[in-house]
Amino acid sequence: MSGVELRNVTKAFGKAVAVRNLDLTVGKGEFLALLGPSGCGKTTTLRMIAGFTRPDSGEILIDGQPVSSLSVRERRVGIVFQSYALFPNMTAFENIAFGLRVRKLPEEEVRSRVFRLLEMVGLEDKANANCRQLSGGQQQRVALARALAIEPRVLLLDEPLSALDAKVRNSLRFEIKKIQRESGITTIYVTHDQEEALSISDRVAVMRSGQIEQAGTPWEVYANPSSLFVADFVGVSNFLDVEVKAGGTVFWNDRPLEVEGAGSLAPGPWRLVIRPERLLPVPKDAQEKNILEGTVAGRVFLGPIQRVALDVGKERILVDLLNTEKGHLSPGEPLRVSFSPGDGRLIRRS
Amino acid sequence: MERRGWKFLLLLPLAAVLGVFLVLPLLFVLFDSFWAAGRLSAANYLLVFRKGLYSEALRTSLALSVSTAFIGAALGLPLSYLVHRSRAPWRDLLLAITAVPLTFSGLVIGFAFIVLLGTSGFITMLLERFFGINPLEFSAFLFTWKGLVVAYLYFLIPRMILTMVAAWSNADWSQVEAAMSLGASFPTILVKVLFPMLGPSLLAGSSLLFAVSMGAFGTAFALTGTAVKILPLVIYNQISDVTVEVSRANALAIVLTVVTTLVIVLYERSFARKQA
Repeated sequence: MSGVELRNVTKAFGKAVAVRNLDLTVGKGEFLALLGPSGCGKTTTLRMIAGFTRPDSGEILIDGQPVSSLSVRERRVGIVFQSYALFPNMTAFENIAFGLRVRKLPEEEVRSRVFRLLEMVGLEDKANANCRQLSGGQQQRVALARALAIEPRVLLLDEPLSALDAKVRNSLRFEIKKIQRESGITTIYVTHDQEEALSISDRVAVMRSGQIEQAGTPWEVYANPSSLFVADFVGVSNFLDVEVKAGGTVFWNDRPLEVEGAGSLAPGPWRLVIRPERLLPVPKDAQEKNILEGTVAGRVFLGPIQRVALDVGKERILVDLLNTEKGHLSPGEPLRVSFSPGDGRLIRRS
Repeated sequence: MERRGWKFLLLLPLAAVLGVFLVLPLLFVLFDSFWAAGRLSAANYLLVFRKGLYSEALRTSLALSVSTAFIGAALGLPLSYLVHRSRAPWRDLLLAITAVPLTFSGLVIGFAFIVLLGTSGFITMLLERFFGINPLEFSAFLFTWKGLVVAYLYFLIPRMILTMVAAWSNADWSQVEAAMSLGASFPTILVKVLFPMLGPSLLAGSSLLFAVSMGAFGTAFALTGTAVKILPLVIYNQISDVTVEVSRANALAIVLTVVTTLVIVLYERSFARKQA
């Protein structure tokens, strides 16, 4: 049984179609990231699952049960918002207890459950703190605990970390993942941050214009993007316009390249996608395949790596070098890089 | 330090205007209110609280202002929500229409109510024609303080709407959605989420309504002359009647100012504490 299933769901606001014939299945206990640029329909999708927005057509199932006729209250979904949405006139304890008290649970059970949740999110000592006194990261922990308190069938997170600074974001990211794994709750996590999506989820669904462009494990989506959009949106890519000739030879500006799988492709214009970290520096006298030689146009220092802009002929490509590989590269210096035939991916140019 | 001094200089024109047109006159009024029978005394104030006419005026003014504040808030709240939720061109139109009654002078509003609900008013005559309601009996209420409540609401509800539209726009709707997802019913959301969220604005709007009602003059004067005993009309009486009692009028004015200011200060206090 799937945790959440969307069947042919469409939603339009006026003339703008936000979600178009969307099919999506999230396994029970699975952590799915809905990744896409703003306006791609990911939040609308989330809101339809929660019940805030009614789909124009199609069906939504939670734990195999159609929920179209159920109100938000009846769906038992936990939601975490970007703005935390804590009740400001209540303490951390009261916020988490809200859903339990609404359900008229005995106060003793409410207390023990809330304290268990506070412990889980590491805020045992903040039970009586007013929400305004908590930091952004702490507030979002309370919001997470509040959503989990009702033991939801699905946990929905709408850009929960976007309002936090980078350091808190990173630590909270792994905490959310850990809590999700322990509780085993089916989770859908909406984000526009590809790094966040890749690092936190079991599976990533990349959305574009109201549809799923590609869904797969983070590794699959990153290593084998099914479209130019995915290759461009997820991570950084070099796009080389190449010609595939009969027999599978690939030419980039009359330079022959060897790319795995080119032999089975129709001859014509294709685009070669190579990740910058797959371009490895080679010595001057090396005889590797697919050597690209150019001059350094500039570089950006990113901590563990330096990203080098390399001018090869008239085109510019990006190369990521580990900090240990090369020393300081200055503009104008020559650099030779190569990629293995298995690291390039050909996508049809349209 | 020098720079700061310059900034204070910029406040001088404002300070001068406030001093000449607010503080100074108020001081004159205050001083004169303690002047009775050629010497300093609290006699005027004792009169305000002892003499039936004056204390009645204070009570009626309070009743009128509390009523308009409550009814104005109760009616303005849902109306402001409708304005807030209306779509783009309509929203602007509704806001513009809402602001119109605020531009009318009190006399115009008073006259409008006479034309509509007076003894030979349009609505009064319709009611007589179709329901056989006695026009004299029906319109009599218009010239009481309860009638003033109705007339005041005409220009007070828009004030409430304008205050609350801003509050609705700043409201954090995800709090409401979070409460829904946690299983809260509408009454629970109303009490636990919406009221705490909108409460400060609702209080601000209500105290504004109260203050405006306390001081409003034109509408009451146009409708009732000085028949209804409310503070502004009684003050007017003291300085326009056969017997001119300026000091007594000043004492009444100070009482009016204190009551109005007190409500505003109380509101500010409770709001400031909530913010902390």
